[in-house]
Amino acid sequence: MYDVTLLEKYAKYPWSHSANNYIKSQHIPSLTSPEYQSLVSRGFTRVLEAIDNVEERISPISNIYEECMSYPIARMFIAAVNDDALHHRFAIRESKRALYFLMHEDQGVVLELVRSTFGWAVKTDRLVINNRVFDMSIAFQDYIQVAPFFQDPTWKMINRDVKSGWVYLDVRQFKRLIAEAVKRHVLRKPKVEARILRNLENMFREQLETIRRRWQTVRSRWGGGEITGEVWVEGFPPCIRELLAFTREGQNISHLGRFTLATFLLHVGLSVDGIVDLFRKAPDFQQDLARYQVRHISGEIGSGTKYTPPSCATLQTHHLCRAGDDKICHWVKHPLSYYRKKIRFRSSMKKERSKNAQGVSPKGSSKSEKTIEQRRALN
Amino acid sequence: MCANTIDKTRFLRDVFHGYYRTQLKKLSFPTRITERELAFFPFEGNFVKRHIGFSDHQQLLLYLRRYPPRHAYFSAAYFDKPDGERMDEKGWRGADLIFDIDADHFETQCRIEHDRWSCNKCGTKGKGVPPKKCPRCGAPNSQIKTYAWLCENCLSEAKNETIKLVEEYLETDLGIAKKDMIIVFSGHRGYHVHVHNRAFEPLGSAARREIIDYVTGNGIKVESFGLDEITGRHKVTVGPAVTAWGWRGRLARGIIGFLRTTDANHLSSIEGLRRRAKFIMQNRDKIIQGIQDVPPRYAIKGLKIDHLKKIAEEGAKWIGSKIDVTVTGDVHRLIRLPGSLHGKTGFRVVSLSFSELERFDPFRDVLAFRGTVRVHVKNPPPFRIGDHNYVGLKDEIIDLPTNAAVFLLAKGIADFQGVAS
Repeated sequence: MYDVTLLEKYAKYPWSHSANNYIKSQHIPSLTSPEYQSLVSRGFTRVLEAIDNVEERISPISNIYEECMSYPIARMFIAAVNDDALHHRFAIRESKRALYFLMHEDQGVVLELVRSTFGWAVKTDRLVINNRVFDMSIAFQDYIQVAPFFQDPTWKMINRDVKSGWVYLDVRQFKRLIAEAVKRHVLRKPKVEARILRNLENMFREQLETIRRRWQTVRSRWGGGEITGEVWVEGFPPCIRELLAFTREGQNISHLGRFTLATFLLHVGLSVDGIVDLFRKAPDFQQDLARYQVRHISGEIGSGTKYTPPSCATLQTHHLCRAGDDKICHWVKHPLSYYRKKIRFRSSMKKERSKNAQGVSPKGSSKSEKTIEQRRALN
Repeated sequence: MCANTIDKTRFLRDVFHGYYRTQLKKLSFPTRITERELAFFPFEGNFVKRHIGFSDHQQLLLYLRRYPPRHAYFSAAYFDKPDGERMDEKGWRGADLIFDIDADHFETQCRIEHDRWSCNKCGTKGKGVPPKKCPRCGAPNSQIKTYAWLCENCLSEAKNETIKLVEEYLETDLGIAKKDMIIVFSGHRGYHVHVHNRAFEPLGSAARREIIDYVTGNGIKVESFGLDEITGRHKVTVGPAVTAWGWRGRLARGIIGFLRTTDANHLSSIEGLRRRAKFIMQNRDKIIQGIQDVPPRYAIKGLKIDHLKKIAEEGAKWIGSKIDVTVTGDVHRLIRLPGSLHGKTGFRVVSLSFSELERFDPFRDVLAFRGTVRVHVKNPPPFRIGDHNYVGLKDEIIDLPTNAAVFLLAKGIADFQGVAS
């Protein structure tokens, strides 16, 4: 026997601390046994929902036990497939699902959830400023661990009312913050031993194959944004273009500026030697040192980590961001995403052009032209 | 290296050694030393010796006595294995929250008097803040060598800025208790604020950047603080009152401060205000008066809301804290070791509580040496050491108290002549 109210809560919020404890207490000996087939099946569909319908409405829960227990099974499938983009998509879906239930949730339950799961310090004192009501406040050190993940600058702490260490939010904003925290929570990789992963592969070969196939189909629809060996300077974001120009002129740029440029160029396909050559005009240029440093950040030597360029947020803080009115800059969080987007636009424009050249129907071509125009406007 | 330089380096090394050997009471090392990485810049060579760990304060002291460094640093971060050579070996546990306020970040009037620069390419020299390009040969800023001095005014500005950071931002807005903070005089041109509170230790770079942007005003959307145009039957421009708390009132005060200190030239250089610079200067008092009124009046005929928002963004920059953003955002940062000596001045790096900061004299409470030294002084700007003001020293051989002599030698504007009898 179990408490239905509690189990319903676990079903809605299976990522929560208390749900996790409950799931652990269930001691399922073998997932392959027929009595657990429905759990595995729901875990499987949970992943497929993330792949096929990430933006679609959340459907009501039909079986609370299945809904709760299928969550770790879905995570297990995600771990076995081992694809970061899929993991991200699954986290988005789970976060949307959490937000759907949170919107109608009792405040006491919400507070208990965030305190026990994320360790947040939250208060419910009301603050009214210019007719706007803020019913919730959260300790700033908890807020800033989630806020950087929002694209909209109004989420930055500088654009919030902050008093004595508390960041004030209205109830809706507070729940969106929780949903983002859920996404981060789901994105944490479960620690699964290689041996167990191999077993999973054998036990659920069919399901994993289906997941991989479906995911490939969805990904192939995106296509065209991959960075190839060819370096396309026109596709660089404004910040990188400026750093490149300064370097070519021999101007002194900050350490972070050099790091940003070098890591960006490495990622878009320039060789270590090519980058070292570029920095030749720097006043303090020392070939051996520069080569050592570039090789280090490329992962050739040292820890073996290939460093990625800093995010747009870091560049903004260090006054290296040159977004201005560039429209793509307002959509992306990272200089490499900018470059990928530009490449995607370019390849789709090429496709459109070649279609037009081959003579497609007048209706289709006018649509294509419009699309090209719209895309040009973005550049 | 010429004989003079060798003598000078040897002399500085000797006096630093003497300090670490005798001035035990003046040494105040950081807590949790076993979890921190230490790094030293020796007198011999031009490199930093990093990845050093100590089992206790005594071991650190013995090291300083054995190899007295020109500069000494410790990590704001805590590690499982501080002496690991690679970051992934060290095992990052967390880091103190630190802020660096340096006079280099202010454009004080006195910098025109005492800071100097020279072009490596053509030899052109000048005073004040270095130019972006050499005015004579056009060499880029990388070719321009700067000589930053430190004066009463610079350090007083840095102290005021530190007090503002602690009281307005860290304590009032972020709720960080003063008892959790240690203020450190860097021994040169500024102050560091170290926040010791386990709640902030796990914060990563992205989270720390939120704090940086909060205290500097970077990325502010002024609409968030009520400065906007409300469109209904009539358009109404609204904005925050100077007395409002947090960034609301600060924004209003920032606009006023910015308008009071700006000029037409500066306004014309701001994109979006170029054509309105003259108008703004002519109506400056009227705009300021309107913001100070109760309730505030932001609507000014002839000034669109976009202009007002632009002015407000400048106001936020003007009033925001002038910290070095790279220091706070770096979770592996090495920072000057309290208790050590600064190699560019010979001053002690002094650790203070906030209540001690107000009375702290960075030209007296930092002195480490006794005795007299003979030096060949070149042409230093005026300076004070202890209670003595040194004005008008010019190309002369003179006996100076060791503190003043070390200061000039370390600054590179004197040559060592011998210990005075």
